[in-house]
Amino acid sequence: MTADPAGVSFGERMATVEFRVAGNAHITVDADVCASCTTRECVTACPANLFAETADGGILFNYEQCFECGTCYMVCNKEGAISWSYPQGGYGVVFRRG
Amino acid sequence: MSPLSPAGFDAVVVGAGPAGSAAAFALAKAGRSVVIVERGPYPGSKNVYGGVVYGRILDQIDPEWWQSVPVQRWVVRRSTMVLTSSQSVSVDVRSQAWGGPPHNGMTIYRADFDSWLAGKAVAQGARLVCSTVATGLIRDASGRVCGVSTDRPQGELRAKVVIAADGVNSFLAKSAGLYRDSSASHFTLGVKEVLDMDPEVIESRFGLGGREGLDIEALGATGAIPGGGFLYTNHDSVSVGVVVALDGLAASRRRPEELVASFKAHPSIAPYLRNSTLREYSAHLIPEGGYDTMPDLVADGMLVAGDAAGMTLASGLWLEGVNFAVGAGLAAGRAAAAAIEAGDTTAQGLAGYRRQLEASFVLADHMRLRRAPALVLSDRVQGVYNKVLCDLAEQLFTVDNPAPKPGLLTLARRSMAKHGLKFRHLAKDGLEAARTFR
Amino acid sequence: MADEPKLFVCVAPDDLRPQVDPLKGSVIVDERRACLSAPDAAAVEHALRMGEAWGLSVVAVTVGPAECDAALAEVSALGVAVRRVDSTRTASPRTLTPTELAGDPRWVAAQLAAQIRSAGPAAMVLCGDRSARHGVGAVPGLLAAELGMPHALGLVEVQVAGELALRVDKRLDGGWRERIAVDCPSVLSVEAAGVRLRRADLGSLVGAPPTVAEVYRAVDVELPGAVEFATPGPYRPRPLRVEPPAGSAHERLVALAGGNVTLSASRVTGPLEAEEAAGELIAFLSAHGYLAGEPGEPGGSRQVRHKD
Repeated sequence: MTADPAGVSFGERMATVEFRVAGNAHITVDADVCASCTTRECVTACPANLFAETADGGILFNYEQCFECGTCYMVCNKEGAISWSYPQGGYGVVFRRG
Repeated sequence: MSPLSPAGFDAVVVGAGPAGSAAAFALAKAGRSVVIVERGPYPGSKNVYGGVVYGRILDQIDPEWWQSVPVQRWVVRRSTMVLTSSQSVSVDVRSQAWGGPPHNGMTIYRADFDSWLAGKAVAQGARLVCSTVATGLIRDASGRVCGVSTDRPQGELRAKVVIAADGVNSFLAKSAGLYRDSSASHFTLGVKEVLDMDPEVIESRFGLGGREGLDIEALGATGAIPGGGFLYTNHDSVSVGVVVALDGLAASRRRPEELVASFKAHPSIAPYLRNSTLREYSAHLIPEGGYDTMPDLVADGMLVAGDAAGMTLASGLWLEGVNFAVGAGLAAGRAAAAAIEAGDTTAQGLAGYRRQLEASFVLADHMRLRRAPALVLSDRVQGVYNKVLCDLAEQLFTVDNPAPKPGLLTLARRSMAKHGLKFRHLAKDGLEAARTFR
Repeated sequence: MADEPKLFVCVAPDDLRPQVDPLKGSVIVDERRACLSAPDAAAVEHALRMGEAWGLSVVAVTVGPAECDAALAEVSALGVAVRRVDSTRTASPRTLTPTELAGDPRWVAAQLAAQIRSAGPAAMVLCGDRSARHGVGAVPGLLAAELGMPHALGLVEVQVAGELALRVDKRLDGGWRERIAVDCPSVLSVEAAGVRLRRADLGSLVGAPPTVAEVYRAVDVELPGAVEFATPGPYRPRPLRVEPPAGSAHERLVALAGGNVTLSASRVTGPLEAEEAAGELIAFLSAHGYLAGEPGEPGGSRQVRHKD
């Protein structure tokens, strides 16, 4: 994980936010489309760093610490690669000082 | 068990943000039955903003709103900063008048503010149902929207009017086909850190009194990516972050938290943040496309308000969203109440919404500043003018004795030449700015 | 109706993510953010299942401030009657006092027991195995003692096994399970395992009255020997007693500096043939006692070569 100059690791950064994790993922990615993607905007643009490239050329994603911002599907230019909806009501990110 | 009449409610409002709560308030005040469906566990739990809430629109909800609003600080200092990597030029405006009623801007936490505003709607008789996602629209045989489906068991809510105040991603407005174009270029990503700081340190560092606050908006803070930075004070914390164009961010391959870190490390910002600890990290999309990218605001049986309708004003000088959402919500609520009263909730019957918005600041400001987003996010404003201005200011105040002072025009010409800015560019952009901000 | 046995479920809605001041160690809770903890939600779900199987009504009992009501709206919409013993608190968010922080489980158990007694005979009393309020899981045990019922704790599975009878799995150390048959009435503390609380349907949530809980005043309880808490301070280790060293300061200085020890000087012998050099080395080592067991000198002896 990347560390910023203040010495806060990305894990510590995400630990400042409350997530009530739902039982089901609200993000799905289409492995076939992602395997053929060369630009991989989601990997760098996601502010929660949820997307990671795997050694075999796929995309691995987490949904547990999602800010529900929508950046991933907006920057993705592959039709239907990322399908994204809101997590179940009452679950997901809970900001206190937004 | 359920007291629902077969016809359901007069109105369903999706989203208990500023737009939704204001709409529900106006409907309940007009004596209409209204339900607000909120997907978070409490209003404001999913929401992030970037600086200042301008409260005068709240006069229409509570004439003495400043007595009860959960304010962090009243903004008395408003700074606009232009940055290069090592220079800055600030315009710092201070008015003590903003510190007293009726106030101007305030800083808040959305969890507190949105809950407070939803409470106003509930006190007026609206029903608030939290932890419930509105998953889609229900239409009758004629295609008119007549309710929403939710993710709860038996989760259909029928109503004469649906007000979609479901935020920047507005799946409802998209599913109703109201968006002609919702591509990434109309959106920016706001990334924010809330840093704990002792109130006394905040007051001495930023030159503030007990409940006074500061808001800094910075241009040229995001390197090659179009966008800006912001910093504002809460009671015992400071919020700092950047707003960047989504397509620019994607193309740059830079991580959002790195952009915040580099803004925080700028020599004009870093001293303000010394010895502070991270309390919360957050991110949210902002619809900054302005008037030309707004969706249709009215469909049969449905209105769109707030971020769902792209109503955040990002014009460089003015960056406002919450007040626009409240204004749009109030108009939507009133228009819906009038349409229900008249018994016509088709798009035609609801057309009063748009007329009200055009008569108020919500669409008037957006129409007047419709050229601003493109101008503010243009390459020269983002990457050339900041350097020209900073160099000019630096040269102007550099005393280079025994050489005599050069003339201002000479300095301007020198600075423009250094950064490749031609007079015709200046004339063109000046004309554009004059037309934008006329 | 009062004589009909009921299922009681004791819940403690609370801010599940309180903030801890890193310097003072004080705990700041915001009860507006109160929600059910996972074990409490599991207890409610088990109670609802029993209620369906046995045709009994479910009553939720809680002790807390008015902010808890919002968290109980969903429980109420599931058809559960809610009784709340009001513990008036000051504004939220607020810093917990030391006594509040530690709480007194006996007081909470007495309040819950009073509610359960007054609301009618209990077929079963369910609790989450521990609350988020700094809980150690003492309340269910104390409640069982108050009510004079048996107590089954650490339950990871609860199944209806007949009319007013349950078969439960209790968690033991080392991954073992103990299967117990439980009869009514009993107190059960369940862990957050295997079940998720069902969601209330929208109609009953929308139609729910604005105030979901019947509010009761706390009964007076005598708590002999209640623990009083002082203001917590930073950790201060007790001083460790260290004996003064033996001997005078001068003697210790001399010992440290090695003043009384005579040293052997180095001696130059070379250059020698290999055999002679080896002999010289062996002679040196045995002279200094490194080659123990050499014939004639059992154990070796240590000689100190004096400087000449």
